[in-house]
Parts: sequence; C-alpha cells; structure tokens
Amino acid sequence: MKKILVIDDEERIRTLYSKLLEGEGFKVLKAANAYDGNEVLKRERIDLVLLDIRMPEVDGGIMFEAMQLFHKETKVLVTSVYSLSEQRQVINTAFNYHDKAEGNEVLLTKIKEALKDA
Amino acid sequence: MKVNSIRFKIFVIYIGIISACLIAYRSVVYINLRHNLFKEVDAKLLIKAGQLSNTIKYYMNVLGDDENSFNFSVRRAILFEGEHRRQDQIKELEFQWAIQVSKFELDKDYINFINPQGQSFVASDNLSAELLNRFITESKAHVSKTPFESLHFKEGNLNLRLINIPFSYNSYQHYVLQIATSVDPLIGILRQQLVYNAIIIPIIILIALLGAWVIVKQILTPVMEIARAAKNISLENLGARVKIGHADEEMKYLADAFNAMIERLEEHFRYITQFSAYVSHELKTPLAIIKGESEFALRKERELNEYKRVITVNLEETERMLQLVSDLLLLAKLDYKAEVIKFEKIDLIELLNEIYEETRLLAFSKDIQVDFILPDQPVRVNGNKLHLRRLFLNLVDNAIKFTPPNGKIGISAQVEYGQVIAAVSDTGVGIVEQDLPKLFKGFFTAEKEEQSEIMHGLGLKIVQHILKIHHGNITVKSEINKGSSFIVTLPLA
Repeated sequence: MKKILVIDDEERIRTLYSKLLEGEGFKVLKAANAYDGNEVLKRERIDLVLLDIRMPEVDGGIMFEAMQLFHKETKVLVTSVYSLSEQRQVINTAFNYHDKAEGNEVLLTKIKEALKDA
Repeated sequence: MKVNSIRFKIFVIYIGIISACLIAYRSVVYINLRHNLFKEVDAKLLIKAGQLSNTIKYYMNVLGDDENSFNFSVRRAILFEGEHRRQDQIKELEFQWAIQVSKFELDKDYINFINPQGQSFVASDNLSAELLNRFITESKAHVSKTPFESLHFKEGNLNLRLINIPFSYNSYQHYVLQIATSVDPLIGILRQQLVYNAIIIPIIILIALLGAWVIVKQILTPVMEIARAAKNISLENLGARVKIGHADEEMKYLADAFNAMIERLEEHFRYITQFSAYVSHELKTPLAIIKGESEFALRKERELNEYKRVITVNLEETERMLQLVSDLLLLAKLDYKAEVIKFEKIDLIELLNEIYEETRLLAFSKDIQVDFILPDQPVRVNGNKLHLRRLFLNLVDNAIKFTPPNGKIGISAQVEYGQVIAAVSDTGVGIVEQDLPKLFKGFFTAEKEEQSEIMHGLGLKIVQHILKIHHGNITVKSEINKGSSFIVTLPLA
C-alpha cells in the first residue's frame, strides 16, 4: 500500500485529504507542521508528500529544501491555495503542483500520476 | 513656446515689466531734460528783457520822460538808430548796452515793442511782416498770463521761445516788450535724445529677452525632468524616483515632495498587495475545504453521520469566511468612514466589567482564571462603545486562545497623566522578541509563528484601527512561556 504524508497546518485539510485518500486505498500519515513531517519522514518510507507552503514557523519552501538534502527520492506534490505559478516561484523542482481550490478529482489524478511508476 | 505655458507667461511678464520700467525711466529723463532746457532759455529771456527795459529807462532818465525821448530811447536800444539832441549824454550807457547785446547775442534775437494800441511800435529788422503779426496776436493772448510761450513757424522752419513783458513809462501807458530767441539747438538736443532712446530701448529689451529666455529655460528644465521621471513611473516601477542633481531649492523641494508621494504610494500598494494576498489566501482556504468536503460527500453514498460531519464542516468554514468578510468591512469602515462613527462619553470601567463577565464565560471551558483590578470610580472616555468593546474582546479572545488550561487572564485599568491605561494580560505562550516590532507593522507577517501568541488574522489590525480613531495607543510586553500584556492607553474625556 502506497504511503502518503500530508503536511498541512489546516486540520480540516488534513482530515479531508486523509479521508479522501484512504477511500482510494492509500495509507495516509498526517503532520501539522514541518517538524512533525520530518519526524514521520525519518521513521517511515513515504512514497509521496503533499506539502503545504504557508505554514507557521517553517514554511513548505524550507521543508522542501530540507527534503532535498535528506529525502531526495521522496516525491513532493505541492498543495496550496496559491496559484500554480506562485507555487513554482516558491518551490521550483517539486514533482507537481496542486491548487487546493481545483478540487478532489484533479488532486487524485495528480497523486495517481505521481505514484504510477513508484 | 505655447501661449498657456508658464515659460510664456514668465517671459511676457518679465519683458513687459522691463519695457515699462525702461520706457518710463527714459520718458522721465526726457521730460526733465526738456523742462530744464526751456527753463534755462526762459531765464535768459527774462534777463534780456529786464536788461532791455532797464536800458530804455536809463536812457530816459538821462534824456527825460517826454514822448520824443521815449520814442528815441526805445528805437535806440533796439535798433541803435534815431537821433536826439542830447544823445551824446548817453554814450557811456550805449557802450555798456552794446557789450550786453553782444554778450547775450541779442542781435540774433527777435525784438518787438508794442504800443498800448496793440501796434508794433519798434521791431528788430529780422522780424518779417508775418512774424510780426503773429507776435502781436500772441502779445494780446499772453501778456496778462504766463509771459512765456513757444512758437513754431512752418515757413522758414523757425522754432522760437517768446517772452512778453509789460512796459510802462507813464503809469497809464501800457506797452509790451517782446523778445524771441531761437530754440533750434535745444530742439536738436531733444531730438537726439529721442533717437538715442529709440535705439537704446529696443537693444536693452532684446538683451533682456535673451537673458529671460536663458533664465526661464534654466528654471523650468528641472520641472521637465521631474515630469519625465514621473512619466516613467508605473505600477511595475514604483521603486523609481526623480533624481535632481543641481537644482534650486524650490525644485529640490518639489522633487522631494514628489518622491515622498511616490514612496507613500509604493507603501500603500505594497500594503494592498500584501492585503489582497492575505485575503485571497484566507478566503481560498475555507473555500477549498468546502469544495473538497462537498466533492468528498458526493463521491459515493455515505453514512448519515458522515453527511452531518461534512455539513458541519462546511457551515463552520462558511462562518469563518463571513467573519473574515465582516472584519474586512469593519476595517474598511474604520479606515475610510471614520467620520460617521458616533462618539459619546462612556464609562470605560463599566465596559471593562462587561468584558470581564464575558471573559469569565469564555474562559470557563478552558479552566482559565480571570482576575480584574479596576477603579471603583467611573473613568470616562470619549469613544464608540461598540468599537471599544470589539477592541477589548479581540484582546481577550487572543489571550484565551494562547493561554493553556489552568492559566490566568488579567484585566486592569488605571488613570495616569490624563489618560486611562487598560491592560489585558495572560499567562500564555508569549511572543518571540524579534516578532514584537513586527506585530503592529506589517499586515500579517508575525502571524506565521504558531508558538507565538499572535492574534489571528485581522484581529490586531482591527484593534489598531479602533485605537487610531480614538487617538489611543497600544504596546505589548511579552516573555516566552510566561505570557503577554497588551497595554491600551486612551485619552480621558
């Protein structure tokens, strides 16, 4: 079973995504901030990280930099309410980008695409 | 150069003033010169007339005052002719007179002696019949008024100055003595002056014109530079400034004022950009949740409880957006419609007591103890009760939010130096020191620190804006893991 880590400070987003993805047969882990996310990454082998940009203390951009050092193989799908072009300005080498307002279907398509050859 | 340009106006005014001054000055000089020259001629004529009439009288003193002697004396003095039986006795006087005549060049002048009947009695040889007629006419007109007059004769082009002096050798015999002298040299000088003016005035104006052109151009070049720079400043390019190297003080002032304006605009644009980024982020998050949850619910048949959960989430997220929108409206009202907010004298202690009661209710569920230290006396401030209530509720909400269970919240107020100092303190997580200055500055920068006790969203902004319209102030003291105090000062009514 593919493991997806959702790093987002919005509790409702974490809940929504975990319910949605569990329904699709993924194992979902949740982290409310970059520290917790990092702990999960150290502990488990994660296939895909859904990474929010705007988070307290350590934002998604810095989290991504850190992942490039220690968990480079882990794919990252940036998920934020920023537009896709703004997301690319903050994080430029993520596997893909998702605007949270695009809805569940688009998100699922992007996730499946990311996990296709993993 | 356009007619409605400043350059043209300065130019025209400058040239106008210079021309007017110059022409006025030259006119005064000319009139003065003319006046002085004529005065000199008139003085000479008066002396000549005096000398002549005296000479006639001296002759008569010697020869007797009978008519014959009178006739002879006049003729002799004017024409050096005629005979008298005692003419030898006046030889010495005649000699003296001849010297005077040559000295005053009386031989070149026109002399006429008119008898009481108004006829020429003795006239110098150079007087033609026409001149003589004119002289007689003038004598009638002028002898009783001003003795002097200027005569101009077209024929022969004569310009004369004439003096009419009454003469009497018997108390009832009124004769008129007329002497006219040519004023051609004087006219020549005056004409020369006119020609000189006609040349020199245009030359000076021309020089002034060139000078004005250069000066006006020099003065207005920085204005054009500012205008060029202003044209180049656009929304994408608000960082640009007008640069003026060596301009005059006024132009520097203009450039500085312009730059300051652009800076304010830049600041406001930055603020608006920040603001709209924040607002769109804050609105988009609940919308994304509502959309995601709704899609999730509709994806397949769910249990009733699941639907309930989704609807509850959607409702709460809708509430969140409504709160944000009403906060934004309030901020806009505080910012742009501050004048319609009604102010009245209110008792702040009464208000804080109400706040205390509400805080106790809110804090109860978190087991937070609420203390209050308030004066017994009413403390009146000039303010809007609704907004001041909102201010303190925001502070209290914040305190409750960041205070762990079993913590404490304090509400206090005291009067000092004509103002009331009210504080809302807590035993919460505190605010990182480097965040303190940012707290009131940027729109939402400090909010990133979750461990930090920063009011969420627009709360603190609203507090600040309410204080601004009340002429109040807010400061914050904080220590990490010990708590924070938000201290509000308001002027007493």
